[in-house]
Amino acid sequence: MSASTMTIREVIEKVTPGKALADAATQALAQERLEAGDHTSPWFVRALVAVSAWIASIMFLVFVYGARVISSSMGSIVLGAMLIAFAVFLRRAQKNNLFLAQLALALSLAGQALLIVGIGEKMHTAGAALAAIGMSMALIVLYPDKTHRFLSTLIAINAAVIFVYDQHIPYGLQVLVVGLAGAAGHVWHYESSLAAGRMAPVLRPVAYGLIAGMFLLLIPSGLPPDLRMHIRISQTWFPATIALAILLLLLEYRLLSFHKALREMRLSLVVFGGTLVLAMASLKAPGIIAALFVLVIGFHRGNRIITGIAFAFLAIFLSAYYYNLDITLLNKSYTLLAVGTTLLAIRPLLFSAFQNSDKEAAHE
Amino acid sequence: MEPGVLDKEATPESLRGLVRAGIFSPDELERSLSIAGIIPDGKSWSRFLNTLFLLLGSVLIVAGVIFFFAYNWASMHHLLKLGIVQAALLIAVVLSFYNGLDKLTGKAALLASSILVGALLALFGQIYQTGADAYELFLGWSILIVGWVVISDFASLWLLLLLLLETTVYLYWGQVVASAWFVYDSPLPYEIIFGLNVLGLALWEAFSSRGISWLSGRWIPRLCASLGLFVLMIPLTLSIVVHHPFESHPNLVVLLWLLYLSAGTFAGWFYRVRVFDLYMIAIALLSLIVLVAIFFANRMGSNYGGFLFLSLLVVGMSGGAAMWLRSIAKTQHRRPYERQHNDDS
Repeated sequence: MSASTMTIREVIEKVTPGKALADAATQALAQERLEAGDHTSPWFVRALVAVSAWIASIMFLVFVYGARVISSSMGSIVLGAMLIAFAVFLRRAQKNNLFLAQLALALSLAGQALLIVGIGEKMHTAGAALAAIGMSMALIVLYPDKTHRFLSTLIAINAAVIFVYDQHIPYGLQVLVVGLAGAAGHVWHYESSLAAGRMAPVLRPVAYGLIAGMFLLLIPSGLPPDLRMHIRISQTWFPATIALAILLLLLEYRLLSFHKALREMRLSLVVFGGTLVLAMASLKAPGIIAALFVLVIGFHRGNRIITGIAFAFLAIFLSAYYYNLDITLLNKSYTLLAVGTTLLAIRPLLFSAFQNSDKEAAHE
Repeated sequence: MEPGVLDKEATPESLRGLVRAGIFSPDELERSLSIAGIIPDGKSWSRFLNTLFLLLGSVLIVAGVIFFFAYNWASMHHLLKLGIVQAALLIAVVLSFYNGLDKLTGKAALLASSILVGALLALFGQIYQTGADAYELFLGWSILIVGWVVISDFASLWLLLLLLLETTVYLYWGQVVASAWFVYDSPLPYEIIFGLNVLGLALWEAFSSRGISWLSGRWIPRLCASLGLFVLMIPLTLSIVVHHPFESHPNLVVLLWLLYLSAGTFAGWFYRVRVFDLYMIAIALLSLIVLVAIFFANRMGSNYGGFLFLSLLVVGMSGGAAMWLRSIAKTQHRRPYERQHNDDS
């Protein structure tokens, strides 16, 4: 993932040689910056805004419930819906006013909490969860803000988990994990095609949310078995591992095709064979394959945020895997030494396979 | 129309902007990302996997060795235990010497040596039950590695020394002065730790402005500032929420607030005018928002109506802070002469 040292002009000239696009590109990029709004803020300014909005919405809820502003579930639903509608209106009307954007974010979060709690009291849990999913999906489209779209994605995923648990759907959590991985893989892999569509501003924050949600859902798989039993989390995670391994193999197949390296037998063998061996070794720990899946996506797209998140979760899931292995410390040490040595031994093999692939590509 | 915009570095965001404007097709975007080196080619993949396998393989082997000794630890003779740690220390020092301190591997080996000095001291204390307080271990550890730190030209090693000194101060206060793991009787240790962070930060900024290459990154000064501020927030919060805070040290409470306000004001000026770093201003503002919110929340009690005011106050303060940060970031983009550290998304 080497950082670019080329200018935009150089890239345009290389991609579209002979076309005089400089003026149009300059105008387009200037317009982009004008319309960008909070997109141009550094991450820590966005984090400051998001954290403050959470605090403000909690304070607002303390006021609503503490001062008994509402006394019934219907009141909660009505006030929640009104707050959300007002927040959407405010955010759409004032795209570049950060103060009003901040107020809208806090009101929207407070409104969502009121609405979901009201529906939960009025109906059953599953109904409230479905309503939360519907509400989040609508807000992802309607509310034009990156932070809000990311949070709405996470709220929808959490509501889906509650629904699955409430309905006792077998392997429901694992189906969700695989669905999220598949959706995230699809969106990131076809990022360039999707960037031209009308839904482009929606897709990136949602795609980040899908990855974050998937990792959050996988955390229970890394808990010690007795704790998992205590909180009624499935003990058998191999279906998710198998499905995630298939997704990883598909992704690797596409990447090898993209780099025209499929015919390089040694490289394909190492990549596919390595994935299968790893999947078999980590059948009980789907988090490892999931982290590798995200790592490959992140590196392929040149996205340092995704790559960094994947590394962090890979470290977490690997640690959990070895901690939970039902073998003695001595055998764990042998396993670690064996896997570490294998990885170091594969390096030269992989390196020569890549070199062969490069030679063939150059020959063609 | 902004002149020169096309002569900026091609980033994923700028190239995606060209697709949204209809200048590139999706296929052309994909090609442009490859040409700009954002989407990796075969060689980048090879380098990435090579580094990944080297890193993972090494970490797993080291973990395997540690687990092996951990399994057999209880049954080992104490001289063997000392011998193992000393051998590891010797290997790390030799590796550092062999690779040289101008290479990252040499610096990393020296960092490992410095960490192993602490492990050796801890083991020594465990075997011979020296009766020393924990702060003495950290103080001794700091003193023993000072020489290596000075010659290392390695920011991470300086950071290790700073953290060791801060741990020494806190443990000394907790074990010798206050006899409590959580120091709440005096703000002084927090003020000293804050001072150490400020000193580290000041030295960093002073020497990095002279063009020293290993002081060019921003994560360590940002970490120093965040850590220093976090440590100072503990007694500041206590001074707001506790009825008679630090009763026997009223002057130190005044000093605490003076430190906070003067450091915040100076940081606001320095990181806006001299070394542009929006992160530093942002964390100073966030700390102010948190303290003001704590102050008012502490005085609300069961007056729930007041929480509406507090909610709006938080919105107002954070919205105002974000607006101000954005405006100074925009102003700064037009001033190319200062050192800028803005981390645009």
